[in-house]
Amino acid sequence: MTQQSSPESALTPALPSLWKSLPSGARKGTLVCAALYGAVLVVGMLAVALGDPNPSSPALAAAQAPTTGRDLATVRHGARVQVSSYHPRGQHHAIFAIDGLSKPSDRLEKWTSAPDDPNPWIEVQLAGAVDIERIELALAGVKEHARYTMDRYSVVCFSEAGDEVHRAQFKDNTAAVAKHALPCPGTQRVRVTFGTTPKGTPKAVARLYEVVLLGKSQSAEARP
Amino acid sequence: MTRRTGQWLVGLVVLGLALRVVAWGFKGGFHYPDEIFQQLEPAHYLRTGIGWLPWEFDRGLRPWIMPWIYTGLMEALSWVGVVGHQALRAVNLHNALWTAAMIPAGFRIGRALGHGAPGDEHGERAGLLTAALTAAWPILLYFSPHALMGTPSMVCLSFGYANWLEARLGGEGAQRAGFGMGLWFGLAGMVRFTSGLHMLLPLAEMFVARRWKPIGAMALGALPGIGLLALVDAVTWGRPFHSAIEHFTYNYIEGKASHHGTSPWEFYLVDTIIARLGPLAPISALLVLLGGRRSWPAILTAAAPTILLSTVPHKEERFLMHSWPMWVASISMGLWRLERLIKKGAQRRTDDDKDSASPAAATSGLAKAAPWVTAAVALAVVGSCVYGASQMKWRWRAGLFEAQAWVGAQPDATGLLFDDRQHLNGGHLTLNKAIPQIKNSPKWWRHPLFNYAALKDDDPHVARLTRARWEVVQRFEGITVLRRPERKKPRKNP
Repeated sequence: MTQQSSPESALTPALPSLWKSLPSGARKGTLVCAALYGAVLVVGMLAVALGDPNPSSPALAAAQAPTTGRDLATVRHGARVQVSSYHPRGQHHAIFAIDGLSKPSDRLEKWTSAPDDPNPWIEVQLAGAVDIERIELALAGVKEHARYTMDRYSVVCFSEAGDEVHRAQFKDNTAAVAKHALPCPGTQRVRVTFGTTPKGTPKAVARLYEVVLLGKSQSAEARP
Repeated sequence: MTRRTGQWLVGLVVLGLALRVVAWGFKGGFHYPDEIFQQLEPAHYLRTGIGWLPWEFDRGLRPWIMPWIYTGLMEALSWVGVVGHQALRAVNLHNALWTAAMIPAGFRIGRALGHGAPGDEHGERAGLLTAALTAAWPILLYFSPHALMGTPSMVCLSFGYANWLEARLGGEGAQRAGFGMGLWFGLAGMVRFTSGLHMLLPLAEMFVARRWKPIGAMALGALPGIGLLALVDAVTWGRPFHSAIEHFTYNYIEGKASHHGTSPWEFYLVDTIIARLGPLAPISALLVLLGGRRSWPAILTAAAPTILLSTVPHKEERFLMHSWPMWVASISMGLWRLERLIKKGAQRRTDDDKDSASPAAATSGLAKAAPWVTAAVALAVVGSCVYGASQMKWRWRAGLFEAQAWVGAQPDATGLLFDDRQHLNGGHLTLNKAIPQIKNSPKWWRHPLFNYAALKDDDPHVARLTRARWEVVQRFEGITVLRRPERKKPRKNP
């Protein structure tokens, strides 16, 4: 294979030739479109990079009114759940935490936070204001080895207006189903934030099978 | 380039765009799950925080470059309300339109191959033939509306080939062409590592021919692609070139590629090339040979990875998609040569019939027929390839994608059961809802969340669910969607 040299002068690449054959208006328009396309992509990427998606489960169009003494934090009672992150490997959706089953039949039925989430939280958003009296958290030990049971977490109650109603810190938990009194009158949101351990350790990600909120509803109607 | 050639080229680009829109219109589902779960689902995860990522993202075998580009695109689409399955369709259309850039690249490839031939000194006729085939080649149209890594890589490789062939011609433009070769090859490799196999012949030829200045310019041109990969991997995986290193380790050192299935050595030749060329494959093969010594760079560039990949047990048709631009160039050079042979024959007749009463008429007729004969042969091989392309899966899992999109739009959906495995669907991108979707099993039928099921029409579970009073609410291509009736009493915790 030898280098070929052409007696003609430099070969003009096609693109400039095609470019030159376009009318000047078309060339300007193309440049503007290309710049706009690039700007849209960059702005889109920046918007995602600077944002912090905290995915929410859907709101049901028709929900049943919650019953006093039963779990208020369920999908069928109009509750939603929002989280700081999802684990991308597996279908461990946050909505499992409000499916009404605190005794799961499968390890799938839990919320798991993302490995790079240092302070995972889950927030139950109720259909309306309720007077919460107790909270129960079905943790990893209900279905998995006890070493995965989260031992440190805080619980914060918020009113409909967003005011903090009550805050509680818990540590050294070993119970698979952690039960706590939680005096939270007029509460519409409850956030549980977990303390994790370094990557690669059993408690590096939060695992939660169910959130149970016991109390009484202030309203007979569920929020649509 | 003459004004007339420029006008023809613009026309071919317009034709190519139109054909790509048509191809996109026929397309549904995916060609291979990777285009969802290696590209678009990660992009959806970046944007929404929800997604199911495959094992490659545990180990870091994939760079995050294309998912980030797609997330930017999908974020922009969301500003105008295009999300979910519609966003997937829009991204595929976006990619299809971008592949039309291969048409001017094809023109440059053909022009460089035909350059200097008597009667086509600037190679423009060869360029136009290559551009025409690139615009209309059915296999290129098939692969255009996809988010496979190979699709943008194929576009970059085409420009890399064009620059390589121009660098071979020498002259003042050789260094600039070398830079362009490095730039486009660098980008192609950044997007898909295995496209490196498709660069082997051009790179080897540059070194054997000792084109040191263009090689130096090529090395410089490759820096942006290489640098971007190093930077993105360092930020996302914690180590420069992490994804490339892990990809090489997994496939070639650990040899685990064959865990994903093996095929016989002749798979690429028989099932990927000959079958796709259709019933007139022998005509296409003859055209490739007819291209002769002018098109050997294209022939060998396409053949080398075909031969190399045939020695690897794990084979997939999409691994060879990057070869098609140069196979198309080889076929078009054969058409170019055919036309020239007919015209040459006309010239000989003129010389032989000098004393004939009407030599001009005879010559004129044959010479005029040459482009029509060429066009007829081109149409025939393209038509044959249409048959070959029609045997490909244009709408694999399309019904399930549509079912997922429909279920995700239902206000009462809290969970979806679907047939087959976790990676054989449109992902959370298509469902576009923060609810679980998992493989169907009777154990989930009474679970409070899973109130929708999307199963194949002939799945025995459809009848069982119907007997359990699930209602058929929708049908798509081969997929039946069922919904569980509302429970009046809440299910007791077992």
